[in-house]
Amino acid sequence: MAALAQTPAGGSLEQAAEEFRNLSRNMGLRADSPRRARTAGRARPAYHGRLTYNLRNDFLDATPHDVRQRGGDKNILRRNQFGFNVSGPVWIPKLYDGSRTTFISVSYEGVREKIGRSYLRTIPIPEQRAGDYRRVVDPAGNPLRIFDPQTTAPNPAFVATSPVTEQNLQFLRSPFPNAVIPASRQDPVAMRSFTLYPDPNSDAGPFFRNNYFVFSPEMNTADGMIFKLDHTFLDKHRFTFNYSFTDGLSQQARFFDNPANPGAPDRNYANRRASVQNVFTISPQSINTASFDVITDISDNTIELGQSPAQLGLSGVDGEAFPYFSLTGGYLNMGRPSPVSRHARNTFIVSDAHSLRRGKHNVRASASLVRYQVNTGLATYPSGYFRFGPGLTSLPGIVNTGDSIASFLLGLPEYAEVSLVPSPSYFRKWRGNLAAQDTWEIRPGLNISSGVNVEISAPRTERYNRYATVDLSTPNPFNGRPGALVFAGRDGQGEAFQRTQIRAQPNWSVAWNPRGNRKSVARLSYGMSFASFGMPNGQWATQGFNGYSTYFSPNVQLEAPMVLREGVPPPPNPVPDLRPDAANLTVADLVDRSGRLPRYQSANASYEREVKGSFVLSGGLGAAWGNGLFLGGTSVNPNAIHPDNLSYRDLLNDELFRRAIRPYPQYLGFNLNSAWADGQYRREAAWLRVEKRMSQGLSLNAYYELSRQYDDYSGPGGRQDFFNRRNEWGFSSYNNPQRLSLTYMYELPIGTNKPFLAYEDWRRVLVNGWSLSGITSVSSGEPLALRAQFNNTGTVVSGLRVNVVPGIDPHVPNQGPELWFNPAAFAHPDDFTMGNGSRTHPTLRAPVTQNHDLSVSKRFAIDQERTLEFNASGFNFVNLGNWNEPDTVIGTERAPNVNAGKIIGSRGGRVIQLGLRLSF
Amino acid sequence: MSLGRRHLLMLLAAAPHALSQRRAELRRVTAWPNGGEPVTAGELREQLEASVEGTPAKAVRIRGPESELLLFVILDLVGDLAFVDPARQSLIRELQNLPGHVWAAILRAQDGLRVAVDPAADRAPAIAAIENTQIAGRAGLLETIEPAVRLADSVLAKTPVRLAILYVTDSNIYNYREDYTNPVINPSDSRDLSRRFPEGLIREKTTKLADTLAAFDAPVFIVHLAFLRDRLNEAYQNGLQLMAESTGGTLSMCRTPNDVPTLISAVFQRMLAHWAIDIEVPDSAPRNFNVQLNAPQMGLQHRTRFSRAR
Repeated sequence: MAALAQTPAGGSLEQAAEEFRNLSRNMGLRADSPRRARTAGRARPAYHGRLTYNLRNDFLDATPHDVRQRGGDKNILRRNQFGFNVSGPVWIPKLYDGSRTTFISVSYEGVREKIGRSYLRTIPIPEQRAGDYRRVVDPAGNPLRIFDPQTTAPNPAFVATSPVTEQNLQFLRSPFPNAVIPASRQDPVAMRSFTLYPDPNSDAGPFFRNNYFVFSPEMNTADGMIFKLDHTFLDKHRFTFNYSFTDGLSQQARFFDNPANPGAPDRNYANRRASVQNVFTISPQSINTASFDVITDISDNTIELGQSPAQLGLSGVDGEAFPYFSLTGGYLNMGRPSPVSRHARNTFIVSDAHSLRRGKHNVRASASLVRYQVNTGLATYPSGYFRFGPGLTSLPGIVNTGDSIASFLLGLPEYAEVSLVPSPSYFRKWRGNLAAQDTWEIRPGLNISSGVNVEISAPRTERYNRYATVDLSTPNPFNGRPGALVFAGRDGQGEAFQRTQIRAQPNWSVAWNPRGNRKSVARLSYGMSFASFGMPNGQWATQGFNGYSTYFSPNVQLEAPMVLREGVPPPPNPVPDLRPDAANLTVADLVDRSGRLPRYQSANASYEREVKGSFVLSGGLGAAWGNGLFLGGTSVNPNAIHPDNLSYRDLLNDELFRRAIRPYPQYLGFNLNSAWADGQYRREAAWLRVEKRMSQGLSLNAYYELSRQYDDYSGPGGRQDFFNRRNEWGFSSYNNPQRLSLTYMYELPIGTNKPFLAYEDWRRVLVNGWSLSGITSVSSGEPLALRAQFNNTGTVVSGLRVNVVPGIDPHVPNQGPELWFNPAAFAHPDDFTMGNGSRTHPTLRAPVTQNHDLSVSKRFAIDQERTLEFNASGFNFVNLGNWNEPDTVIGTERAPNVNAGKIIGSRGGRVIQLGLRLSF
Repeated sequence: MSLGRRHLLMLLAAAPHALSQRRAELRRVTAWPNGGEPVTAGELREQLEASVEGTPAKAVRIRGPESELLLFVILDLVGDLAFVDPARQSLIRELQNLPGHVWAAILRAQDGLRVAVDPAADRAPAIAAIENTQIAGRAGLLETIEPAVRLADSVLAKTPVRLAILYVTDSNIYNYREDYTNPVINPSDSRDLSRRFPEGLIREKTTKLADTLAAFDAPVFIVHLAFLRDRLNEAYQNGLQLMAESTGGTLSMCRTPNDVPTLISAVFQRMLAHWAIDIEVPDSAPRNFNVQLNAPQMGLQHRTRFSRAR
């Protein structure tokens, strides 16, 4: 801020140039600056950085809406987040002067957090747990009938040509006298396990449902650092080295505090990342960037051990954790899957990119090679998995009878499984890319960019060839039908089960200024890409090397595969068991060997225009579509029974019969690990964006999108009919057709250099440096997926839909939480039929959701270099409650779901975070 | 890069006029005609009314587009040749077309501010320097803008020429050596809300720089070659605009490579066309003050807010 020259003009440019030379020399800005000037500041190298601290406390927050509605109060929240960053040149007195060439940055952040979680679950009431069902009711409030499986007998009067009804029973079974299971019949393993179950503590209902409310803290501890070193040498090379690490412990909320807790296990995280990069400016028109990255992510599960199967009196299983008891019908489970696991993922990336400018062409060519390693140890059920359903205590063939708790009390699971995993797996995979992109300026105002990316995707292998899959063309020695286990590196199999895939992925785009007006830009683009083979954690596709002893019931309504008090039967064959039929009668792991990979395509057109007032308006249309998307779970099933077989009706409850009509009868099912390339989707969208560049301290960005997205797989139930995908085509279950988002930043117009309150005295400390930032988002709801409450299809159908009742409007006037849609417009499908409604409803949608976050900052300038900033951020600062989704489960006429069409409660609540940052 | 106390002392030593005698403070107001008839400097002097915070102020010198102009062209080129090369070609074209009373110095912003070519009547060295510019991997605008403006103001303290600074940059906030992005350090911390408003660091840095730059007189013009839409870069680009406007300059954003020649040409025209009006700041003026200029026949668009050094 030197004063302006007061000398007269004339010959001034020469004088100015001379002054420029002198001043820049003295400031050390020139190669010929004296050493003293170039090293000025050495005594105090220019280190910059910051100290940060963020605080959250339940004292500052609003009570979450869902907690308040249940009469609860806020639970504890303590969160402290702290850290620092320092960066500057590397300069060691008398040893090394890197003030212009070497730069280092070090950041640290730590978190200590304790946050309350609340859950509302259903647990059996004390009488029910003791076997007394006199007060136990079904979801409609009617007495729940339980039957004694020991009294099962074929009904001589059964008319096989008529459906099974209470008047035409295939099997007769007597109810327990007085609806009480005698103590002598109760299984000691179940009774010991029940001592670890908590008592009900809530009456949220309806009836005895939602009777256990839990407040439980999650604990989160994390510490991490990032180091960056940046060095320039020979003027044409820039070398960068980055290293970061973090260690974290995530302690999950507990449903109850003993080894039977069904909550997720605690998890340890450790991440290490290192990268080196060299940018070489070969010539002004040619740049080469080479880099090497190594990333290691380690995570492991840990739980409180104790109450092992042996301690519970459950013999035949060796695990040290509490067994996993799955209690169907909405009850809180006991124990959990994957109590102990360890995954280490290593990724090595070598890449090189070269940019070249020739005439009107800018060419970029790149190549990369990525090597993945996943070392993983995951025994899903080391202490056993035992699923209890209502079937064994039901009146066979009659829905809404029987109870999973009663079956548990009798020690009669419908399915059991024990994992035998002697060693971890070491999976490997690589992927390569060769890409070229040309940007061509055809004429002023018109640019075309086109390119192709050739991806070479190698499939997963296992270091020791401990890798297996069912091959759907190999005959199975058990029955001669296609489908047998094959093993990597054996019997002519390669080390991988899939072929290396090479895919060309083209793209092109055009940017055009219509009529040469640079304030307007029209853009067109098209791109195609393929996903590569997955590399999941876990020991999927290692059957034979690892064992999964499964125990299934031939008919889940008639016979249990085992009895708890008698222990788990020994596995028929010890592991490793490398016979082709080793996976028979299991849910076998199946690798997709079709050679398909998910293909995604998109095309977009947009137009943007700069207008007065620092505004940019844009609008566009886009379409995206894909096929061969990776699916799993209930969305795809190569071993599905054709729905025509529903005509066999109650015979389908017989596992042996059911198995006989499967395409691959030797398998109960297939585990595809969400890697079966069979899904399709399409998305169409139109959007508008308004951007306001900063003026008068305000900048904002508003975006509105109207979209439709369809697919043939998404939703809570997956596909109903695996053989008619066209009938599955419908709205994506997660599609929000309208979305509006608004982000804004506003420097308040008060204080120094501002229009208002530009105080010079002490008041400037109060009024300077205020700013606001905000994010607002509003989305229309997702399409509703209506589901049938009972599924009496002999497991032929998994995602059972509802029937549409003709002539009844599903919409209701004055839509509200009391009634969001008309459940009378839908009906539960009859036994052994599929619903005729769509997978997701074409017009019914969940409620609108919205969120508004605001941050207020006040900056205090301590001196020219140091600043203290105080920040208060409100997340959902207006404390708005978003309605939960309505209950979409449709019951039968006899047992209607009384909550169907209603919305139970809302969620959300204001969260406040306070922060301090000292910058220097 | 900020200057240390030692630098400041050197600058002060280089400005003997400022220290040797107590004179009224002069500030330079950058202005452009805003409609009306073209006028000469003499005509403008006759009709110009200047005031500081409402107090009449004397315009001691007025220099128009025909007077000598010194340009600092600072290259901050770090990335995509598709943008960088058109920018180099455009700069070369503009330098070749500069009138004789305009001299340009070429500087680089990587690894600290560095002089590549001194200002001179001969354009050839400047053009060669631009043609041979190295594309470095790290941005440098935020670290070099303050020393660049200090250097410019020091030149203004010695000579009465018009002066403007032009940054040509394709920097984005992610390729600075110093960390303004507050990256996630603990990915296992799933409930981290501190990065919901990630632009705080950038806003703090650019606001602080804008406050500092408001104490200088040389206008800064920035041509940004690569418009980016992510939240952090929007905050960065808004910050660049704030900094440029605090000196009376402008930010021009290229949204496609097609924009590069047009915008570089436009900003050269604007720099060449600017008026430099030196006014005497009354002693009564506060540390932060508004300047109003009024020329009835000409109409003036000009920088209004100034502050004095702390």
